[in-house]
Amino acid sequence: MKMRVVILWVGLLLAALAGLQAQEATAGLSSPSTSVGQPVELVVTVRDSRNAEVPQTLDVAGLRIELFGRATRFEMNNFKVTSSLTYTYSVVPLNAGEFTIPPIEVKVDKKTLKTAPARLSVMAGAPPALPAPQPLPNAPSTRSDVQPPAGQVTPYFGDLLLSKKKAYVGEVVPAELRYYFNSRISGEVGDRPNFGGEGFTAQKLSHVPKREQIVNGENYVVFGFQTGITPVKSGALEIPTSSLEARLQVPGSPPPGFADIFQQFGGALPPGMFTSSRDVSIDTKPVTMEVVPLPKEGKPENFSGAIGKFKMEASANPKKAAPGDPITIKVLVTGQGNFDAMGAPELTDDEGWRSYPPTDKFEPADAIHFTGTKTFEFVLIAKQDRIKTPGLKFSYLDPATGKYETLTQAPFDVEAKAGEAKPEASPVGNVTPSPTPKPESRASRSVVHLGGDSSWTPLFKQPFFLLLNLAVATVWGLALVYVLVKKLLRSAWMCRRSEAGRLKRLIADLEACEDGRFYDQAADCLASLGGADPESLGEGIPNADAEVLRSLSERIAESKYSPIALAKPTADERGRVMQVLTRLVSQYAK
Amino acid sequence: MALILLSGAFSGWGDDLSDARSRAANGEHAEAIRLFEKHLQTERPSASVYFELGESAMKSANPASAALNFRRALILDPRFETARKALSEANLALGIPPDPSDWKVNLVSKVPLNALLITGVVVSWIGLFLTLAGSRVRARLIFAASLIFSGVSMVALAWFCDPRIEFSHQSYVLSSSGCVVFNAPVDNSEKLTKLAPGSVVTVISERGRWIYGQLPGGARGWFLSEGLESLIPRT
Repeated sequence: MKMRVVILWVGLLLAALAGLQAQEATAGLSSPSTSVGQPVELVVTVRDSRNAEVPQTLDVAGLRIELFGRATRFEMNNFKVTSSLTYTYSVVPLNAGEFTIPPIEVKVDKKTLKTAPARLSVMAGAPPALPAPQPLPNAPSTRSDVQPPAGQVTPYFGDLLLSKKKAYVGEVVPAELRYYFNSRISGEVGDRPNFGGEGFTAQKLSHVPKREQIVNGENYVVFGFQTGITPVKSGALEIPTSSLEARLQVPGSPPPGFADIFQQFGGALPPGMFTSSRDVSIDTKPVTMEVVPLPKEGKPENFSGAIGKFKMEASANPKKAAPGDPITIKVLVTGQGNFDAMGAPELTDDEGWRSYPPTDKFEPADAIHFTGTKTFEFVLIAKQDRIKTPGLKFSYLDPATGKYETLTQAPFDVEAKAGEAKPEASPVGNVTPSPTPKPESRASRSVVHLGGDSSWTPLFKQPFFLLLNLAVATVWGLALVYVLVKKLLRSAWMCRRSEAGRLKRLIADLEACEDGRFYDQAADCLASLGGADPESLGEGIPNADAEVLRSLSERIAESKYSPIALAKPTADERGRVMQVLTRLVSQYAK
Repeated sequence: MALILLSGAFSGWGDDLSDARSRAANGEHAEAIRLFEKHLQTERPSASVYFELGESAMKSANPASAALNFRRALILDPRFETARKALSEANLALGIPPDPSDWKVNLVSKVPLNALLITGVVVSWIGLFLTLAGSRVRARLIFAASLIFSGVSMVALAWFCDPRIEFSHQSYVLSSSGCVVFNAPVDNSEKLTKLAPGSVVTVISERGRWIYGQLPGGARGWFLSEGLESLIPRT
């Protein structure tokens, strides 16, 4: 009986702790990209809450977003009770472009939670870069023998999504590896899957933010990895499976007799209360692509291997160039395609110009280097006086139409004088994979230069310089000590201290003097303390002491002018004078 | 005795260099390069000798080696305008962009850094000694403080602009086939790009024969040390 009560209390405590867990709201799209008219799902999940308010519609220009589903889920994993609410919106793109769905406000109890913004890329007419989620396969493609949890729901599965199933040799095909985990199970997922194979190259896998997606009415957490696949030969290309390792908490059986306890309280053991850890490997299904060679028909001579959809912009600077000064033509090729394999545009009508292999720099707009801008910079030097730069021509294969397209740029109006190159060429881009042209012959330059250093060590690191400065620093330090000591000796405190020492010596002499000179020495001592007049010693002297001093002054005066000057002081008088003077000296020293 | 030894050493010094110069003048550049290199291995570095070595390399159709030696000449003497012009031509021959001209390059091409450093140090010390001379006079104290500030600024400027500091972690692609940039220090890792000969990279760290560095454009990657040569020769 006592045991049952303890278990009941533990259960209540755990339930209370579960209630203290932080509530949060997350939002995820079923696909990061789509095309106009192709809906995607936006799933808003509110954790640790049983009731929440969300907007029925969301206002985003170019998108129609409406709420169409709500689900509640309670789970217990190893005594950890979690509940979550799932709201599903339908997102129908009306226009092409990049959209950002703003944070969605979710009212939970008296709090307002906000989701993170979600980005959706909508392409016009063309098929989406990555297709919408596929229906749940009938059987999970796993290698493990883990049984699905109660309810016969597929616990996890993998999928490889290609943006197209037919491609040209050298074309970059965006792909996404997706690994779905039923949100009822928890666990740890490996860093990235192994991915690769023969007949294609792949970009480095890029993480897609974890999101939630409803598949066949079940909520799944989706781990995605994007890449770009480039076929290198024609024919049927089989992209093999890729495996992601994971350690999952799968349903386990309770200890013997545990279920009986719940039955005695009239309840049943909550599903998912006991789990066990399993290492599993989740595979995607192999996918076959059809790879075709580049069309020979209409292939331009200047085709450099670019496959995709591109735009070209160019500019020339400066517009006026002195003899030998270079003019830089900057070309921006923007779009989607195989930027890594793309060659530079071709210069046309470049007679009278000396050109060098262009530099190039690529700025990707996505993680798989499929979208972005490649910048080429041509450095041109006029060999003859010129009023126009060369023009530009750039050809690429448009995989959507299967035809070659050529972009052209007319020559720019400039004023360039012929002459030799100067060293102050305009700065251009940096990374430079380029062939080496043969150096041109030039006049010999016989220079015997006498300037410069004869060491790779800078002067301030050379030993003699450091030693010299150390010596000066030592002199400065000694001078500083001298100045400080001098100041100290001249200070009022030091003067007073030395005067106090002299007075103490006078008092010692006075104590040793027993004859008539006692008054003379006492007069010296009194004068050093502040004057012969006891009144001048200031206030604060007791009356008795002042009286002794006054009497002493009189005796001193008498000793100068009276015959009793040589008379010895009485012991009593000596004692009183010594006592007062000693006290005054010790006060002065303080 | 010491004088005899010293004169002997200098005569040997002069022989190598004069021989190299006469070979270069006669068009025997391969031999001139060998002699210049021998001289530089045994004697103190000289901007002039590096420049002459670069000239011979340029005439031997080796612009990568020429550009390296012109760069070294400029590190030793940033005011060596002829070397700067020669480097620009070598870069053009290599097909790589000219070095960007920033304020530091403009400064060091006009101001002698050692003179700036020594002036800064002297002015700083004068200021420090003036503070000891008497701090009771306010104007003198302010004057001393301004001297110290000016001196320290000059020293800092000389330190900041000295190419031997700036280029101490930079390496040069000397290999005629360029230098492949890898994503990881493994032979079969992803190749990011290929640097042309004559490119300069900043070394961040080293791991065995692998160097982790920054490309001129700011990207980072791994290089094999075989294709790279330190801009400042390692002794």
